Amino acid sequence: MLALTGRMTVKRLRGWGLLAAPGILFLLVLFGWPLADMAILSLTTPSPSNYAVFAESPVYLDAYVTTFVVALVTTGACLLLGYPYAYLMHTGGRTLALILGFFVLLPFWSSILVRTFAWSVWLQDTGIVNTTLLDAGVIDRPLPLIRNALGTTIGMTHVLLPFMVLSLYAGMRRIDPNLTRAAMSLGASPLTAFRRIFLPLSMAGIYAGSLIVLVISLGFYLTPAVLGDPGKPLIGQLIVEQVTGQLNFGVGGALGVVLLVATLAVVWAGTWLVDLRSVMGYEE
Amino acid sequence: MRDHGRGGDWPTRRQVLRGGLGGAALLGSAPFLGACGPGESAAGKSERVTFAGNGGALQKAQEKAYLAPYMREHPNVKIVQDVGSTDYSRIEAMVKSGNVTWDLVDVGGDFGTGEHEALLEPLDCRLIACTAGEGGTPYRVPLHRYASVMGYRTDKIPNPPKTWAEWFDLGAYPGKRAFFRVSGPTGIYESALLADGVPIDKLFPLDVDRAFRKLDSIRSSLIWAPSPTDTVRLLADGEVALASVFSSQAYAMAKDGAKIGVVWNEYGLGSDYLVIPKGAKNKDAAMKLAAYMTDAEHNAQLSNIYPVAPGHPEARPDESAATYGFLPSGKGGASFAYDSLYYATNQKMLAQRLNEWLKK
Repeated sequence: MLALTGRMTVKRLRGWGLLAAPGILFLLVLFGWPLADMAILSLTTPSPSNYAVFAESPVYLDAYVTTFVVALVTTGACLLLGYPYAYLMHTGGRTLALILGFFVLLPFWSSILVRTFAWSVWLQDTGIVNTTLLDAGVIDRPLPLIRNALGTTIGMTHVLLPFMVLSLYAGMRRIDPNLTRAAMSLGASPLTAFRRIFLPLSMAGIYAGSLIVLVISLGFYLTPAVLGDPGKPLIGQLIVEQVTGQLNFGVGGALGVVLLVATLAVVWAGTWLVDLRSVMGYEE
Repeated sequence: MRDHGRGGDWPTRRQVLRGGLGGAALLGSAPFLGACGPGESAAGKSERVTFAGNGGALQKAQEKAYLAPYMREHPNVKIVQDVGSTDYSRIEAMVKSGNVTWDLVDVGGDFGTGEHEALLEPLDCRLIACTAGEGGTPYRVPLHRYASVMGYRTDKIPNPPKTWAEWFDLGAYPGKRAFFRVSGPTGIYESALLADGVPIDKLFPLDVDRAFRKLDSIRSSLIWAPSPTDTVRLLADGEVALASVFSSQAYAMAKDGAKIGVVWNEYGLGSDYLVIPKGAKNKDAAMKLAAYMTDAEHNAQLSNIYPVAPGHPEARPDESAATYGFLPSGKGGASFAYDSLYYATNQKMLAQRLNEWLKK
């Protein structure tokens, strides 16, 4: 059996599979090696004592907790906003899908820095939202929209929503429309057909989108620095501070390695819930 | 200076060898073309220097004040610019990987002393006025001085605070205040200590516990800006009425019409320095450019268009320039200098303490 799969792999590689070689090489050299280097740095500059930083100050462990909480909340917010959006793209016809798709891609054309600072103009005490509400007499003191978890979540959701929408949309496109039609022809109400047929079939897209958004969220540092609570930094901010502020590649590396391990653990735990192959679009 | 600026001389052997390949075909018709390849003049061999600055308005001003005139005076020198010099980890990464792409770098006072010297080329102090200015060493030469000062909204605060004690007084000045959230030399601890009554000449070594106790008293009224520019922007937007700002950035906003003023008392002076990373490919050319930028004759050229004071004590900025009111030169009022060695050695502790204090 093993020999058979082996031979099949070789057969595949001999053909078009070889075209993947540059991509594989690219990832190995520019992604695999730096990661390994980071792990080595964390153990050798100057010694594994870098990992003692967790015992020195509670700041670091707290930052991991904050990071994962913020990442989960952001993922949830993206899902809540993204699902109906993707559903409309899927069901609304070609023109609407094109228009909605255009608006999803639009943010990619401006830098994350610009978008984050634009949010601070909207959310700060003297920002557009608060001034408008104050002028209208709806509130009598500015709402705390920035420099807290809410600001971070809003900013990160804005950046990450496209990833969620595109994953969900790709997942929904793989669903055979005849299945919901069949359900309805057998007497299911549109709501029941959605709940019992469409939603379960779109789970693969939900998992894929959530995984991507969650994992990218874990590395954010600019958005929380501008919009977030200065007392609750995300781990990405502390890594930047270690490396660029203090030239401490060792501790920065150690924090990075722990983040990587924690992320892999989350993904691995996720596989208990979901079949990763379905996330990758594998069909058995 | 050996093979530089000697117009009448014959090309050196090295120049002929370097230019020879491209020029060989033309040798018959024009004997000298072979020696002067593209970009090389008879005045000297062509040189290239990569200067890395902080980016933004400061680097644009540096280009105008130093780099462009230098290239006009030395047509054989080509200065290439890069940004991001405040990210010292890049210098360390370049030196350690042996691929140094920066030749001359503008760094802050928290870099270039102590163990950082292992990352730097020693400067040629016969050529460069290494130690003429504050904080200069054989590894870093003072470039310019900036000031962290009390900034305020001129329309909201008719009588600005004259001391940090008044700046910290919530009764006299209600409302929010902004600091730049970084543990480096930007005045967080110093202003708190001054407000708490520490004499201005006794600030270092910092009594960090005392500084945080004083900061506790205004904790809920503080806004921690993610960058120094943001302290000024928060003032301009009206998000805060008081801030600790760099006078140069306050000038940039005030020039554009923002109602921002600065108070010249109890201000902190920091310096930027030029350094040459160890293994820089154009070390000699970088030395010459560094000497030009920091000597008494040329150093003040920047101050006339950008509000930072010269690093060389004998360089004199133009008092009629629009920038003069915002640059920390010839101002009355008390001032202190950031102790860069203190910051270099206590960086880790300060960062950790600030994070822990913010977390409470």
